[in-house]
Parts: sequence; C-alpha cells; structure tokens
Amino acid sequence: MLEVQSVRKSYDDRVVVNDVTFEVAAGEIFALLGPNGAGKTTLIRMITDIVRPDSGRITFSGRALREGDRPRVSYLPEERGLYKKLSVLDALTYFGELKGLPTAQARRESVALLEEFELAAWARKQVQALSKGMQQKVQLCSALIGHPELLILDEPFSGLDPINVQLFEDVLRRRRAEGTTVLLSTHQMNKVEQQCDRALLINRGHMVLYGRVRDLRQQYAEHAFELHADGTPRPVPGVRSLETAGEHWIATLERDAHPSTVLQAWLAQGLAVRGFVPRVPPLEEIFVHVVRSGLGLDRGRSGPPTVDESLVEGGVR
Amino acid sequence: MNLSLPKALTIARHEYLVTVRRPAFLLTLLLTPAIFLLSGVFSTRMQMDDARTQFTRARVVALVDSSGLFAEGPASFEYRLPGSAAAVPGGSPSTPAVLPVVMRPYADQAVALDSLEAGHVRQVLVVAEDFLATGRTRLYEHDTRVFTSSSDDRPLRHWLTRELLRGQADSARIERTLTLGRSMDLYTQTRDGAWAIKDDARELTGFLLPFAVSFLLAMAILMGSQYLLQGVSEEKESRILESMLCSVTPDELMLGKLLGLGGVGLTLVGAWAAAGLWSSAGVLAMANVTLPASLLLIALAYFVVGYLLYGAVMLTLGALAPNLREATQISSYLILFNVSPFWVATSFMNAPNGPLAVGLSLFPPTAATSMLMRLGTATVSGATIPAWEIALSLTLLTLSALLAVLAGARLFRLGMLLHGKTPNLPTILRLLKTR
Repeated sequence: MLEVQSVRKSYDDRVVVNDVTFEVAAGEIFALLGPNGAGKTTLIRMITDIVRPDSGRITFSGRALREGDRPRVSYLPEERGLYKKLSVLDALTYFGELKGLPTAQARRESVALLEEFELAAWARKQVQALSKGMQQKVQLCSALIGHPELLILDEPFSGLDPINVQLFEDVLRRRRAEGTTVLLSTHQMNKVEQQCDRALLINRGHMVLYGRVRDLRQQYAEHAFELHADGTPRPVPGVRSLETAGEHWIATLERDAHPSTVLQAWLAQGLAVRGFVPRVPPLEEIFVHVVRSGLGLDRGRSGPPTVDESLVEGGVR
Repeated sequence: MNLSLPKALTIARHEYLVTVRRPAFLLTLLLTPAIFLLSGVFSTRMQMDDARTQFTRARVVALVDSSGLFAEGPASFEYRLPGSAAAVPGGSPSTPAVLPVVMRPYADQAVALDSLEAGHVRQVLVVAEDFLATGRTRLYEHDTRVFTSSSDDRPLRHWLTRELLRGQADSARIERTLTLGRSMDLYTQTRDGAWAIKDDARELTGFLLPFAVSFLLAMAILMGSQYLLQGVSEEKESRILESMLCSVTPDELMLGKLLGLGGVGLTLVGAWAAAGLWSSAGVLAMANVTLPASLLLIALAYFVVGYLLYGAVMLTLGALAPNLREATQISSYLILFNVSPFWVATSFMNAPNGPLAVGLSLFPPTAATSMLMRLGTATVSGATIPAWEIALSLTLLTLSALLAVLAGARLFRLGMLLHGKTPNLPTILRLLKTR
C-alpha cells in the first residue's frame, strides 16, 4: 500500500529524517513511534506531500502520489483545529468536498459519521459550542470522511475520555475490516500493543526498530518468567535474579537454565505455584530502553537498524 | 503550479459564502455607506440651515464713517442676492432672495464695538478717514469660522460702491458696475479642439467620478486582501491548514482563497458603487456625465492584477506570521503603498503627466490607484495619457503579481507549517529555496 524508500530530509544542515525505509501493507494498522523531535511529523508530512523529501521515494500502490490520489489519503495531525463558527455538519461537509465528494454525498457521509460517533444531536450546533472532547470527535470524523484508503492519525486518542477512546477503537476496527490501512502515531504504547500489527520506531531521524509488534516484544524478552505463587520463593539453581513485582515475582534465568527444571525445584521446595509464564516486556519498556541507550544510532546512519535487521531483510516487506 | 480547478472553486465558494454570511460582513456592507450618507446629509443640512438663517435674517451693521463720504447713505437697504432665488442655499423659488440690511451710524468706534459685544449689531464697519486715497475699511464681527476669513461682505461692498457712485453716474451704469464679470462667459478649448463654455460643475463631477472609481478600486483591493489576511491567519492559528493540505494542494488553497475572498471584496465595493450610482444618477444625468467604457475596462484590468498582487502578498504574510495581530501590523505598512497616491492627489490634478504621477503609475504597488487617478484628471484637464504608459504599467503590474503568486505559493506551503515567531528575511529566502 505505502512504500517509503530511503527517504531523507534535512533543514539547513540538520538531518531530520535520515534514510528511512519501511512499508505499510494494505489493511494493517501500523504504528509510527518515536520520542518528541524524532522526525515523525516530518515523515508524515512527506508521506502526505506537504513537504518534499530531499531524496528517496514514497509510493502508494507502486506509484508516486498524484493529484487524483489525494482523496485516498487522510491525515489527522496532532495539532489540529476546526472552523469554530461553522456548524458541525457544514464543517464536515466542507472537508468531504475537499476530498472530492459531491456536496450531497459529503453531507450524507457527514451525517452517517456523526451518528457513528454519537454526535448527531450536535450537527447544527456551531463547532465552538462543543466540548473539547466532542470537537476531538468531530476532527476524527473529518479524517474519516470520504472513506480514505490510508488513514494517518497523529495522537488520535489525546483529549478523549475512556468511553470515547473505546468508541474510536471500535470505529477503527470496523474501518480496518472494510480494508482501510491505518498509520498511527502515538505515545500510548498500550494502544499500539492492542491495535497495531507492526511498528516503526525512529529516533533522531533514524530507524531503530521495525517489525511486528509481537516479534519486537519477543525479541527483547530476557529469558525471564513471571512467577505467581502463595508464599515466598527461595533461590534455586538456574535463577540469576528474583525480583518482586507487586503480587508476583520476576525470575530471570541463567542463559542455559531450563524453565521446567527451575519450576520443579520450586515445587520440590513446597512452594504453591499458581502460574509460571514467560515474561514479554511491554513496548513502553523497549521504547525507553532503545531511545535512552541510543540503540540503532551507532552506525552513523539509519536503518536497516542493528536490532531488527533480520525482520527487515526477512519476509516482512 | 499543482492544482485542480474544481477544488480551487470549491474552496472559493466556501470562502465566499462563509464570509458574506458573517454578521460582520453585513455590518460593513450596510454601515459603511450609511455612516458616510448620514454624516454627509447631516453636515450638509446643518450648513444649509445655518446659511439660510444667515441670509434671511436682517443684518444690523454699525457704521463708523470717519471719512464722511457715506453720511448721506440710506439707513437701510435690501441686498438682492446674485442670480435667482436658488442662490440662497437650500432656497426654492418661494424663498426670498433678498437680504435686509440696516446701517446704524456710530460716531465712535469704541461704542460701536461695545454694541457688537452686547449683540445689538452683527458687524461694525469702520471707514478710514483717508478712505478715498487708500480704500481702507475694517470690518468687525464675532468669528465662529475656522481656517477662513471669508466673511460675506458682499452686501457692504455693494452699499459702499453704490454710495460712492451716487450722483456720479446713472443707476444703470451703477448696476452694471456692480455686476461686472458675472455675465462674462469663459470659453476654453475642448480635447477635440472646439471652443466651448467652461462648465465648472460638469468638470467637477467629471473629475470626482473617476476619482471615486479609483478610490473604490483601492478599497476593493484593500478589503479583499484584508479578508485574505484575516482568513489565513485564523486558519493558521486554529491549526486547520495542515489537515486541509492532505486533501488539497497549497496552490489550490491559495487560488481558491484568492478567488473567493477577492469576490467578497468585489461584492462589497460593487454594492457600494451601485448604491452610489443609483443615488447620484440624477446629478450625473443633469451634469451630462458618463463614464467612458474604456475607463471601466481599464479599471477592471487594474483591479484583477492589483488584487492579485496584494492578495498574494497578504496570503503569504498570513501564512508566515504566527498570528493575526502580527500579520495585521505588518500588512498596515503594505497597505500604505496602495493608498499613498491619494496623499499626492493635488500633484495628479496639476500635472497628470508629471514625473511623480508617471512614476507612481508605473511602480507596481501604486500603479492601480495612480493610473486611474491620472486617467480621471486627464479627462478633465484635456491631457492625454499615452497608451504605451498604460500598457507598460499593466505589464509591470502583471509581472509583479505573477512573481508574487509564484513566490507566495512556495512560501504559503511552508509558512503555514511554521509556528512561533515571524520569520526574518534570511529565513524567508531560505524557505524560497526549500523544496
């Protein structure tokens, strides 16, 4: 669906995006991650043709973005606004018209979206009369109008209460089922874990992680296990460290230790074990680790990144 | 440029409709001419009432005649105003065109001035002892006028003349002396070489009309470009533009706004012009004044390219400045160019082909208003504006407008994404080079 190949962008002598290559497959939800100032917005602006790359290539279904392709892509920026003095319906209809829809169809789709987002009762109200959360939902509607094939969302959940977050997630799931591809930029790592198939992490313009979310987490798993037990476990052979983590324990095993041997040793001690499961680190932990340690920046150029080379070269593309 | 005309027209329609539906637009549309009209009607009415009162109320004049030449003069007389009854401001045929004057002799100037102070007389006329040799007289009155010393002394000059000549000439000669010059017809050569009576009223109207067209042109450019500045600044401040740029190109956005908000400016000024023409149709018909079609066509051409130049500059400014307040501050300096020809309007009247008028009509930022003012004054003075100057002026203005649009399109795209402070000149130059 979307292919970004060796894209580079610099302002003055500062490289903002450095040789970034990735691909978003049709129908997937793809996460674009990175700390503030990593170059995510510049990358998105290049994808949406708001700014042009210095070098590299961005293609949609194998060809560069053309004038006629614009309605296929929709972008909800992090810093976003609406025409405050227009009615909600008029504002949405206008966005639909800009997507190339005839006025009547844009109006019909606007009404349908407002119903989907439980805003139909506010259709005739001025945007400025709505609460911040409601305005946020109208902005999401403005990105969804025209049934774009590629939906680029930058921090779409900010400002939404948990109920509306769930509502929006349901809408995203429905759109995905209909074939919409989503490029999601967010700092809410739990949402990435729940919603996204694959992710790209960039840091200081460089690709540092790229691949399936599940694989990335697995890759950073440290031969550690979560131990749920009644009572306090004592050290047994093969366990390098044992730390308490709230109501359970995290046991990091020696590289050559087998989990079943360790478990049997605890059972032999008479420990009432309720659970013993491999521990996969949350994405947030990986994010902090990778960014703080500057992983992937050591080669002086961007990707394919050090930590995920096999995934890039493997069958992910 | 990368644009689709239907999308640009969609934006133009949206900008136009949203703006003209705003209460602020309707207020501007109706209130501006209403204020001009009401203030004009009130001030004229007040002046006319005042003048009528002054002309019809009997005037008592204290006469201090040190020369003794006017001792035999009548104690009162009626001053017949020149021309018909209509010479009285606001007068109708039924209005008496006669001013009763009472001459009250005083032996002493100090007493006469006391009398003026007390309000018993309206004026004190002092005739010097050596009047016959020097012609010196002094007139005292309470002055309420500003920047003028033009008291209406015509009745007194008539009385002095008449009394001086009393017994020296027959009454017919005296009357002719008094009205000498009034019946002198001034013939001047018209543009086509014929000799015709100079018609001041027609010339005044003939000048005012193109001047008004020039003023309306400046207003149309001003209003349209101000709407552009406001619209873009607001959109930038409320961060709408980035969402839109995914659906439309900056070029489409720019063209749509130029068309839509230019249309708003034109609607506004068009409505004012139509109302003005409708209300003054009678006067124009009486003065036999018509606007040449060529002038209207030239005005239209200047509006299109002049608006394009200022509109592109204002759009760019709106995109570059971080907020409306800063954008407005900078734009006020630019607007000065557009209206500056009005400051030197007298130079245009005196010398429509002088170096200042020619220079300003060729300099693109002042070309539109300057050239129309020149054309207007030339119509009256009989001067001819060379066609090549109009062509050169329009060409330079068009080239400048195209340059502004092309540079504006590039800066507009990047400027909309800038937030913070207004970029300085080196930054703007760098942006121009950015892809």
